[in-house]
Amino acid sequence: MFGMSPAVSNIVIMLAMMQVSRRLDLENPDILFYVRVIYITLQALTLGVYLFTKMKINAKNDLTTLKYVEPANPMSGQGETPVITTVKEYDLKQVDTQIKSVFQSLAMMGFMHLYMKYTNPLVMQSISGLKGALEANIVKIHLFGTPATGDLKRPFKSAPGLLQALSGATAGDVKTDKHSVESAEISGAGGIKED
Amino acid sequence: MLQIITSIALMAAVAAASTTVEDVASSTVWDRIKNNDWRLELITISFTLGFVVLFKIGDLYNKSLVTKFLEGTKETLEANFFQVGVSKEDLYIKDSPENYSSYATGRENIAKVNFDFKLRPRNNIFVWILEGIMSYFTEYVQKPIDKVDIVIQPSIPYDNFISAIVSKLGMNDFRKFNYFLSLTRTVDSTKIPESFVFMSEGSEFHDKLLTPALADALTIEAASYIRYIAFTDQATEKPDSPEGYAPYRRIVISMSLPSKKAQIAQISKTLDAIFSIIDGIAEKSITFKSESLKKVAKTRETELNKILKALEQERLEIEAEEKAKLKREEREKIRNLSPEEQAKLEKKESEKKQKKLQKKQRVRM
Repeated sequence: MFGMSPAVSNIVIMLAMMQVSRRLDLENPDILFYVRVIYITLQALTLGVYLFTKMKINAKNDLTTLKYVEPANPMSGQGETPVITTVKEYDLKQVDTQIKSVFQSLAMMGFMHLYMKYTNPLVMQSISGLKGALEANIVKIHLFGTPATGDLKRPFKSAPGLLQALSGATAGDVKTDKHSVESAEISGAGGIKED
Repeated sequence: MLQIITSIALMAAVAAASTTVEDVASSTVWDRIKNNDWRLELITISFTLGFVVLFKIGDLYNKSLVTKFLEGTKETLEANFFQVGVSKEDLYIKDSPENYSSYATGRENIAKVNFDFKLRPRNNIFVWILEGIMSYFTEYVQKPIDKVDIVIQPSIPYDNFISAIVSKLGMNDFRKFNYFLSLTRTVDSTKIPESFVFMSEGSEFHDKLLTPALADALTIEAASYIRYIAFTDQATEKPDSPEGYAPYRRIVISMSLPSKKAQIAQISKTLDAIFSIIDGIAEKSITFKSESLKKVAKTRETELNKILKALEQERLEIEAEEKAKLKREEREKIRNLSPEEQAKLEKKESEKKQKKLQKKQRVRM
């Protein structure tokens, strides 16, 4: 957004919204009502953006084969896993993770606002969902028609997590080079028990 | 949910019973029945009845799906097999409202064909809805679908290999849940519709197994119900013992249960094509180069070595653990001794050490 990295603009927005929420009289039921309406509208819009993207992906039906190697997951003790999928399925998965995160933040907000009775987060979080949606790689490709090259080349590189950034580890990235894909592909990684 | 309803009903019942003791004492049995609050019972009974009715509807629908599929493929199967169905009278066995099996046998080159149906739990509507929602949010729950796996077991000896035609829709999951597919390379090809890929241990296998009849049976739309057609000798689940790697040659045709007549007709065509491929293998009109087969054998060997190594590692770990346990026990024993005895033991140990040191020094000199 305006040439800023998403992380920076997120902080700017948060600070701005903090000022806004400080100036609002959240005890006033009228204002509270409007804050709620704005929050829900923005969340609905966010979901709408994702669902529209999903529709576009399904309409495009790009069945190009996509191969890459997912990094080992130290938490579950799983080794490197080859992923063989199609562009369509990859994109749908991306959108679904985004939609899930919307539901997650809704659940969090439900807890904070309805149970803990905080209103401030409602103001502060209202925009970030939609902003995140418009900045998501998958939305950029399908909604804005940005070509899927460079940073938007599938598979997307994951933004380094906090722990990774601190430890300077670089191992946690997807691999797409021919050698690693070809050796992982026939390594017999599958065969986990179904249900 | 039911508990909330019952508790509300109970509260209402208590509130309604605001009659005096004399009233109750003088009332007859009939009066009591009439005055009693039966709401709770009514709710429970209607709820149960509703569930039973829904169960029956779901159950019948599942049954109709299976019957439709088996009736649709019956013609092809009867032209090929002496016996179609689990017995002379029954076409299938109902294992549960979601699981059905069928069977065919009595044909040259083929020992048997097993049909394994796994349907949506339509009978239990709550489980069905819950699984549907859960599958979206966690990958530990599989999305309920109607599925049929047809496993053909040939009765002829032939070489081990894995070669499959796989639908691109969900192919990563097929690889995840099928060990044998995760041993193969995925290749796009112009010989099959773009909604399918080859997954095989060598291009020779999938090229020779794609007969004109099979190619004709695959349409671009067929990928929506055919999940994969695989020739394999390896297990579906990753084996955890060396015995699990023993070859078990079979052809697996997995699909989402088709319900349209045209789709079932297409499946019959596919089955026919597969049967004639098996005949081709039996008649040696489909054979493979020894280099390709050597490569296949090599893959089996590497995989077997992997498990042997893992088992060896496990054995060593167990041994090391046992050793550590013994040591711990000994230390515990010493700790439980009286102080004098402990001192004695320590002295002995240190003497032993000194002797060792002296020996070493002597050697050095």
